[in-house]
Amino acid sequence: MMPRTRSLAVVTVALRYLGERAFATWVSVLAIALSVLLVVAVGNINFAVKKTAVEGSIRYPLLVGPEGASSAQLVFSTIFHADKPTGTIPFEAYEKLTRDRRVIAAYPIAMADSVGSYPIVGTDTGFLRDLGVGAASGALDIEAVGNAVLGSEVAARTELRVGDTFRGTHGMVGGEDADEHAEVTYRVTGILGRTDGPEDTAAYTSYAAVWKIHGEEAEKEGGEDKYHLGKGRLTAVLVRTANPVFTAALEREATMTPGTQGVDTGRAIRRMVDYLNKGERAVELFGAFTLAVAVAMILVTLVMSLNARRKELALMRSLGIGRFTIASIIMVEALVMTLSGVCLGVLLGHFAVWWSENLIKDAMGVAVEPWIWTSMEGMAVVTALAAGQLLALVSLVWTYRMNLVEEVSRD
Amino acid sequence: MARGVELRSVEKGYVDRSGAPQRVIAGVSLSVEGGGTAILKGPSGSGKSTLMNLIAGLHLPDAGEIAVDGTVVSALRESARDAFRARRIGYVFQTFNLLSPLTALENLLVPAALCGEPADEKTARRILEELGLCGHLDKRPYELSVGQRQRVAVARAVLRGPSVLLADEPTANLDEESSRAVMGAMRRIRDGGATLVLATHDPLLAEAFPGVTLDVVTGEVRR
Repeated sequence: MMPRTRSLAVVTVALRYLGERAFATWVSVLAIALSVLLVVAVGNINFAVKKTAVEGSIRYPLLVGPEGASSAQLVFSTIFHADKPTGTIPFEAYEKLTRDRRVIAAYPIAMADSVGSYPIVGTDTGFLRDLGVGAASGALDIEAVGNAVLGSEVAARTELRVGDTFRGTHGMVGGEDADEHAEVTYRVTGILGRTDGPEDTAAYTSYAAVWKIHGEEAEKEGGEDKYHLGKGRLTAVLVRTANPVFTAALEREATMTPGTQGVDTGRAIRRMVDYLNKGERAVELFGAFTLAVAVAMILVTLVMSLNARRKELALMRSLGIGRFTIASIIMVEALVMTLSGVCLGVLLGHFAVWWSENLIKDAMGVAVEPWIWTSMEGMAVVTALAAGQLLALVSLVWTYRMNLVEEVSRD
Repeated sequence: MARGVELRSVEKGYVDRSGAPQRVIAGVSLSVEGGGTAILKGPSGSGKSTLMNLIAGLHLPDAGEIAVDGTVVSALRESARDAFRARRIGYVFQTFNLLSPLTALENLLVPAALCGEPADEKTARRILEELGLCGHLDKRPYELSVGQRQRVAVARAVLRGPSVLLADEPTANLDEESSRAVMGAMRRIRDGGATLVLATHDPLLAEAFPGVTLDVVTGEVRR
């Protein structure tokens, strides 16, 4: 359909010129899109990590683990199940906490084995009930040795159902010395409801089962090592206290007890979030740099194309088309390129997060929400659009000031 | 003079790279009535195109006055000159006549819309067909021959019935058929009352459009 109005004609001509140099246009659009994509994807993943971490710290403000490990390692290992345990603590530490009047709830954690790429966490039924999501199928029954409850992602991806059996792999996920327990078979007694947290990508059994399996093996192999949790040993205890004052006191007491240390998960996670924020700033800077490169690229493309079509622009002048209208065509070209780049970048960024959802969950124990809008993304879009506007304005002024009439008068 | 083109002691020069002033048009006067023809003669670089640009209002004279249909073009502001050119002047160049990303039909209609004065699509189609371009309306310039491109340019120039048709070597490099078509269109528009200003080296074209001849170098006018 033929454009009847000036503005429609401007858009039509701008789009046609962009189409005429499709390759350069696509390269420019992709350059913008990549810079936006990067910030969108990192922003989304960081948001999910922070959200999961903060939720974890709210649920369990205190964590008691072996001394010597960093607080971040303990948080990653115990809350996210994303790191190997760094040692063990005596079961008495857990028992002492359960008797403490300042403690609302304490749950034992004994990590040692894995099923496929998912960790098997030894704990008690109380921990599973405390998640508040119930069982999607079967029951949250891990009392008997060999019973296992699977996280929703583990069940979906291993296709194990209630009543099925599986063999655990000796050692933690990805461990060099991981091997299958020949004689230990777990029976699935329930599938945990979805938590959108690290629990989805873990399997749970009783800590007693972990002791039994590892204790027997340790006896056979002559002692406890980091994968052979001897009887009466745990990798950590998750604690919910009555108030922050109790948390601070219990943390101090645990740290003063030989062999254990207390970690204020809120503080550890705030430190982690600070690191993440620093990472975000670095990504934003990198994104800004790539955006600047992309904008410069568009400017170069536009200037080159302006020079290549000086004759045509001069022809427009000879037809009575005003300088401002001609400059508007170039401005629309710049705007279309940046807007397309931003839209494509946002879409690809979300798509990339959606596509890597399972990878992120496996690697970090974090459930991302691919289609949410984060503040980092908002900033990236606003910056890119502002850069596009600036570019459009520069193009407008540049073209407006071009002496096209000289071009017409060349004999 | 109500209709036509009138040049009164027009002068135009430029400053060359060494900074020395160069005179291109030196005191040219010319008067052509509506329906008449002016042939501009002179070697390449003599200022024929500059004179045409002066008439079109693309350049302003250093001295003198240019009037088209009684309007002193050189006295108008730039935007008014643009609007005047869009409405009243048709311009055909020897080459570089079409906008490359647009089809033949769009090359008639889109520039008109860009000027804020949309043209009638039916009329545009009819003119293109009269110039033998039936079947080429949706082709882009690179798909057309040189002659076809020139015919599209002429079609665009005559689309809105201009008062003045400026044609700079319009038949150079054209085959006989295209030349005939182009000349026929120009004749029709001139016979309709428009003033034809032709810059040409082609004696056949000059013969086909008898009228006032201006030697751009000497400023001599021969009727």
